[in-house]
Amino acid sequence: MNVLRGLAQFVGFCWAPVCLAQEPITEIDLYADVDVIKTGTRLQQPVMQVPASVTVIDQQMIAASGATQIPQLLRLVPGFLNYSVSGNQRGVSSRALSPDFPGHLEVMVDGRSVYQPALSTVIWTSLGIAIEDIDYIEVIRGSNTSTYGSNAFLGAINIVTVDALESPKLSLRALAGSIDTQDFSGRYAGSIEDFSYTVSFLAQSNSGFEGLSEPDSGPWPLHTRQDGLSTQQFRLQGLYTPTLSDEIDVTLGFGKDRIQVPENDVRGYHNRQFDNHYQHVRWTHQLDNGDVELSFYHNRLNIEDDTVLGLLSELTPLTPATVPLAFPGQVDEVLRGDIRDGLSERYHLELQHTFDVNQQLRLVWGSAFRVDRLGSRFLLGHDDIIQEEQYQLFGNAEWYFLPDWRANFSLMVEKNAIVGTFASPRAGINYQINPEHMLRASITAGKRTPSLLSVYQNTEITFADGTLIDQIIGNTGSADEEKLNVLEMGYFGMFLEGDLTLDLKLFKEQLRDARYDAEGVGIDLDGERRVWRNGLDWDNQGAELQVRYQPNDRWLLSWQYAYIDIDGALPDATSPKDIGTHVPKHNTSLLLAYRPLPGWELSGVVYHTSEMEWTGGDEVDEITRLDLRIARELRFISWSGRLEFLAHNVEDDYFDYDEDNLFERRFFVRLIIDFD
Amino acid sequence: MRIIKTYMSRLMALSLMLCAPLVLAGSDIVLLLSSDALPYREVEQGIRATLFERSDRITISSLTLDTLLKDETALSEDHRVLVTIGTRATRYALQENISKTVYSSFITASGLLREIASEKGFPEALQGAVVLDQPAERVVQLAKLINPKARKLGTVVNGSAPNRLDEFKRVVKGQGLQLMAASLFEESNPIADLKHIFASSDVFLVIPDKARFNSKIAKWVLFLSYRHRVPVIGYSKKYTDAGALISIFSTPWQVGRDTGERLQRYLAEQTQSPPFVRLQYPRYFSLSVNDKVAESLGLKVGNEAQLKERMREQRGARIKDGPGLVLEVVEQ
Repeated sequence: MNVLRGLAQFVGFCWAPVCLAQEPITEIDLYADVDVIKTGTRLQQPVMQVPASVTVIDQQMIAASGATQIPQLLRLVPGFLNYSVSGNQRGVSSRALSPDFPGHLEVMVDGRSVYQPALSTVIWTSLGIAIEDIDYIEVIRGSNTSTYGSNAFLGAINIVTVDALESPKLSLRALAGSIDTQDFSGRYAGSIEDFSYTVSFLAQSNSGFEGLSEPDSGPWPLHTRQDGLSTQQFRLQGLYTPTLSDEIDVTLGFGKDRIQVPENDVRGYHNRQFDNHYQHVRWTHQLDNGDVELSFYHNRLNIEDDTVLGLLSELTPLTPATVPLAFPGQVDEVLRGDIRDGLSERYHLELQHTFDVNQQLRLVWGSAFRVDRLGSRFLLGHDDIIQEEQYQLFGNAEWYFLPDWRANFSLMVEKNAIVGTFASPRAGINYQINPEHMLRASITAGKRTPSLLSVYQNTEITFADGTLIDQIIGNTGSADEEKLNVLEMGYFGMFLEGDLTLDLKLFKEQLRDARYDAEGVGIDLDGERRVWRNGLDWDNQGAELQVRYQPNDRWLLSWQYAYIDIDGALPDATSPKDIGTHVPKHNTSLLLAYRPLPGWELSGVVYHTSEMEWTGGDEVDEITRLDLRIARELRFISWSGRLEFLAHNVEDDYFDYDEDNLFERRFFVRLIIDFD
Repeated sequence: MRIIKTYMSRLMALSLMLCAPLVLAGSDIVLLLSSDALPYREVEQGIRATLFERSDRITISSLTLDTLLKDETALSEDHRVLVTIGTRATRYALQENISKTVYSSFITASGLLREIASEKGFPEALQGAVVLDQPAERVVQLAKLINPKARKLGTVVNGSAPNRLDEFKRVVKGQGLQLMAASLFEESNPIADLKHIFASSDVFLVIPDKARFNSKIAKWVLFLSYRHRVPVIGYSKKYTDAGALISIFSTPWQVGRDTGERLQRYLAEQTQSPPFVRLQYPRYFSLSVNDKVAESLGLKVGNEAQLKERMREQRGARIKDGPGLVLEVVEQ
C-alpha cells in the first residue's frame, strides 16, 4: 500500500504541481458539474448533452422490469432485440441481422470488453455478475466506433456494477420457478485497512425450454429436449485511494458455465462448457484540469464442446456398406464436430488523458494496444493459435463555440494485420434551446475490422485420421473493413420540471461491405461450402423514441419505440434474399410501475415486436409479451429486503427465434435480503 | 399567476436586453459580465426584471468583460453604479479602477475577500456585494430539518475557504451541535478520512470548495452516504442529481433578483459612501430533493416547497457577524 501511495504521490506531484488551495473559490466552482459517470464519449457529460443517443437503465427500471437475466433488460432499449438461440444461448442485436452469434455490439462490464473473439459474440452466461450487482446500464444506440473501436460498430453497452463502497454489507438473493430455475447469488462488502472490496458469487441452473423438439424430417427418433444451464461464477472487486487524486480499481473473476445447445436431429443436444477468468486493473489520477486513466484487462475463455454428430451413415445417404466405396480405406464411423480445447483470449492495455484546454474546449485522447487470440481445431482446421495485434489511437473534443452550441469531434484510428490502418470519425453538434430542450445532429463514418473468426475460419468434418468428408465453412484469404455511414438527428426535452423526458432520434445508415457467409464451392462430397466474404450492403432508416415519466415516487412509466426500414439483400447465387424482413419494422416496450401502498410495488412490461424472420432462426409472427411483477419490501432492524413474484409472458405462448423454442408462461419467486 | 408574472418579467428583461444598445450613455447602472455564458446572462436578466418591475426610470446597460478589454471606451464614465457580475469582472473593476462606485454580484465570499486582499488598500469604490455562498445558519437549519435528532454534523474541507469552516463551527456550536470536520489534502486517503467522518456523523454537509476538490471527493461522499446511511446536503442541483439527498443553493436568477432589489434601495438611499462594505448572502434560495435517495435512506423529508415553508417559519433570526475589519455580513 505504501509503495502505491508513494508512487501515486510522485506522479501526482509531476502532474499537478499547483496546490489546490492556492486559488479562491469562484462561481464556476459552485456551478461545475458533479457527474460521477462517464458517457459514450469518454467525457463526463449529462445524458442530455451527449452527441449520441443514449439509454440508461437504472436500478429502478431493472427491478421494475422483473427481468431474471441480464440480456432481458436490453429489451428496454429502443431498437434492441433479445432472443434465445436455445434455452440458454442468448443473442442481442440492434438494427442488424440476428444470427446465432451476433457480433456488432460492444459489450463492456465496468469498461472491460467482454466480446469473445473466438465466437465473435458475447457469452452472456459468463459475464460473472448477477442482475442485482448492476448499478446501471448505459447503451449508446448507434455506431460508436469513433469512441470504442470496431466492436462498437452498431452500438455500445456498458454494464456498470455497484461500487464496493456503495454495497450493503451482505446481500443474498435466491430465485426459483419455472423451467427448474434455481439461482443463488450473494455479495459481501468489507475492507482491509484502506482497501475496500466486495466478493460475490453467482450460481444458476435451469432446464431451458420445455417440451420435445420436433425433427424436421427423416427417420430420426424424437429426443428429449435438453438445453439447460449450470453456471458458477466468482468475483472480487477492490478499491484503493492512496491519495486524494488517485483511485485504483481491481476486478478479478473466474467461473464455469455448462449449457446444452442443439446440434442436429440425430443426436439432439450436446454440452458446451466455458471456463473463464478475467483480471481488470484501472488506475485513475485526477489532475487539476482533467485526469489520466491507465487500464489493463485480460479475458480468457476455454471452450469444451463434446459434439457427437453421429454415424456418417446416419448423416448422409450413404450406408455402412457404401462408405468404403465413397471414401476408399474408410469405414462408417461416429463423426465429431466439437470445439475441443477452444480458446478465446484478449489482452488490452489503454492510456487515456482527459483535460480542459479552456472553459470552451475539453479534450480526451488516448491509445490502446490489444491482442486477441483464438484457437480451435474444429473452427480453424488446425491446432495453431491465431493471434491478432491491434493498435488504437483515439480522441474526442467537446467545444462550446457559442453559449448554447457545442460541437463534438471524435476519431478512432485502428491498425491491425488484417486490414491495415483505418479511421472512424464522427462530428456532432448540439444546440441547447434552453435548459430543458436540446437538439443534436451527428454524422459518423464507422469502420469495423472483420472478426477473427470470419477471417480465419475453416471448419471441416473429417474422419478420425483427418480425411476430409465435408467442408462446412471457410474463408477467401482476404478481408476488408466493414463500413457504416450514419446521419442522425435527435431531440431531448424535459417537461413538467423534469418529471417527463423525451428523446427522439431520426437516423439513416448505409452499411457497406459487411462480412457474411456466402454460398461457395466445396471440394467434398456435396460440392458445397460456405465462405466468409465482404459484400453485404444495406440501408437503414428509421426513428427511435424513449419517453420517461415519473411524476412522483409512486409512478414510473418508461416507453421505448423503434421503427426501422431496411433495404438490402443477402447476395445469393439463385435469388437474392431480402433482409428487410430480418429486422422487425416496429419494436416497442412499455414499462409501468406503481406503488399503491408503502412497501408494495406493482409493475409490468409489455414488449411488442412486429413479424420478422430471425436470421439464424425461423420466420415468426408478431410477438406481444406481458411480464408482471408484485414486490413487497421487507424492513427489519438488522436487515431489509424484497420479496417478488414474477410472471413472464402471461399471455399466449410464442416462438422465440426458432419454432423449436416455444416460450410458455413462466413464474418465479425472488427473495433479496440485505444486511447493513 | 405567479408563474406567469415571473415569465413576463423574464420576457420583458430579455426584450430590454435585445433592444438596448451595447452601452447607453448616461445609464444609471452598467452591468459588467465576466463572460457571455448563460449563468451571467441569467443574473443580468434577474437584475433587469427586478428593476423594471420597481422603477422604469432606472436605465440599465450591459457589456461583457471581453468587450471592454477590446474597447476601453465601451464603458461610459457617467454611470451611477457599475455592477460586476462574477469574479473576473470584479477583479478587473477593482484592479483597473474603472468606476467610482462598484457593486459586486455573483461572486463567492472567499473570492471577493481575495480580490480585496490583493489590492494595495481597501478599494473605496466597492459599495457592496451579494455573494453566492449560503449562510451557515441556513444550511445547519436545513440539516436539523431533515434529521431533527442530529447531534453531529460532518464535513471535510480543503482549505480554500477557511473562513467558511470557522463560520460553520461557530453556528453549529451555537446551536448545541458538534461539527466533525476533517481537512483533506493531496496526500490524504479520501475514503479513509471520509469513512471516519461518516461513521460519527448524523448529517454530512458539503461545503463547496474548488471544483476539482469537489469533484475528487463527490463520488466517495455519495457512496459513503449510502453505505453509512447518512444524508448529504449538497450545494447545487447537480450535486442532488449526482446523489445527494438535498441541496441548497441560489440560482443565478435569484442572485440577480436579490442584487436588483438591493441596487434599487442603494440608488434610492445613496447620499454618501457607507462606512463599510455590506457583503450580503443571497436572500433567495432554492432546494432540490432527490426522492430516490430519500427512499433508499428511508427518510421522509417532504418536497422543496414544504421544506422551504418550514424553514421560513423557523427563521427570523438576523445574523450580524463581522468576519473582517471592514466587512459586515448581513442576511435579511
